This record gives sequence, C-alpha cells and structure tokens, in this order.
Amino acid sequence: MKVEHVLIEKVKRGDPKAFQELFSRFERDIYTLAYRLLGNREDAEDVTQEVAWILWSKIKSFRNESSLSTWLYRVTANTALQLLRKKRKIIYVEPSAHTAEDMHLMLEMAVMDLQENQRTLIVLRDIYNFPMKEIARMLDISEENVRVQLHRARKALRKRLEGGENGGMQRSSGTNTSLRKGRADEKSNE
Amino acid sequence: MELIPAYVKGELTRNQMNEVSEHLQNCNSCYEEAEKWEELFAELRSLVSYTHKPEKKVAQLTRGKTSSLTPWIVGGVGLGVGVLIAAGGALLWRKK
Repeated sequence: MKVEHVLIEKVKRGDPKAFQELFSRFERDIYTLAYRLLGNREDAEDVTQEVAWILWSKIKSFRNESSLSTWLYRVTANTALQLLRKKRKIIYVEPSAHTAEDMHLMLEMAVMDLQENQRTLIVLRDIYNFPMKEIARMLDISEENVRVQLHRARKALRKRLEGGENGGMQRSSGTNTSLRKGRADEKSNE
Repeated sequence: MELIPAYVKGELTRNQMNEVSEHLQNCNSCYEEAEKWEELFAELRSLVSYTHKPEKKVAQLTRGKTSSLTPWIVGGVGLGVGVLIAAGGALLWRKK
C-alpha cells in the first residue's frame, strides 16, 4: 500500500513511468470488470484504455479517501455502463479456451449468459459488492427497482446453474471447494 | 423463501432480518436454501480474484491517447479558430 501511495504521488506530479507501473497493477482487474459487464474483449480493452486515460488525467482529484482500487472499479463500471448504453447491441459472449471442468469458469459463463440487465446487477452487486445505492445511481433506477431486478437475476442464475435453462450448467456437489481451487494461472495479484 | 438471498447478503431491514432468522431456526428446507445461497455468493465473490488478461497491452497511454472526448475537443478548437478567422476577415473587408 505504501509503495502504491508513492506511485500515486509520482503520477500526480506527471511521471509517465510511475503511471505505467501504477496502472499495470490494476490493468487486469479493470479489464475483467469491463469484460464481465460488456461481454466482449474488444470493448473491454477500449474501456480499459479509457480508464487508463481517466486515471492519468484525473489522478490529481483522487484524495485517498477510498482505496485506489475502489475508485478505479467505480470509474470502470461507469465507463463500461456508458458504453453499454451507447451500443445496446447484441452481446456476443466469446467462448473461452479453458476446459469445461473448470468450475469457476462455469460460474462465470453462467453469469455471462444472463440477460444484459441481469448480468450487470450480478456483476456489480454479487461479484464486486457495489452498494445498492451506488448501483441504483449508476443505472439511474430506484433502489427498490434494483432489489426487485436483482432478485430476479439471482433466481435466473441459480436456474442456469442447476440445469433449468439452456440444458443447464450442472454443478457437482461441493462446488464451493472445487470452485475455490480454480485455475492457478488465472489468479492475479499473487 | 423469497427473502432468503437478500437475507444472506444482509440487504433486508432489521425487522425482516430478525423474522427470517427466526424462521430459519424452525424450517429445515429454508435453512438448506440459505446455505445454498451462501455458497453461491461466496463463489461469486471469489470471481473477483480470477482476472482475464487483455490480449493487447492497453496502458501505453500517456501520450497520443485518443479519448472519446478528443474529437470533440479538436472539433471545438477548430470551429473556434474558423469563427475567429471569419470575423477578422469580415472586419478587414468592412474597413476597406
């Protein structure tokens, strides 16, 4: 954290090298959140690029009141949602090169397979733990509406995972354990 | 049953939380349901640490970044310069 603070101060003074180092610490996290919201890699890369620009140009207004990762997640979600609203296109969820046995991947695929509005809510609330109020503000809907739609989204996700829709994505028992094992090469920040 | 996911996430009012909590103590099927939701939420949260790698390096942006705002800025400046030249030209022409 201390190193990160030093980097932030350097970036605030306009040091491009420090910026590269700072951004590379968060690049995968930003890209992944954008990808989960947008459903395709090219748009996720555009959003990552935009967030890099925002970080570079607005870092002076960052006051250390929240952690930089929280600030960047918020900026990423807002930027991705803006793009989503602009495009409103059919989301093409790209197939992954990983094997189907990977339980974490199956869960991610089930999330990506949800309708756009349901996926947005699950990603923001249940994966990234954004507060309900903030989600309501981001999506420009009431908090009550977020609650109602989130409930539907969660039920839809359970249905997919338990094999109720599209042939289902049947999970084995004890998914929690197998999920946590995940793919070592997919883990970041370790 | 309907309130269970929000209960597990702690999204209910205090009264609702107490009601559901009391119910779960006496209802096995709802308790099992709550456990399933708890497991699913833990799995979803764990996805945060599973990240994807962008195919291309996207952080080379300190120079030459084309933000979506850039065309508007360039356009705006261009328009401003154009208006100034036209106004200057008109003034010179009137003086003649």
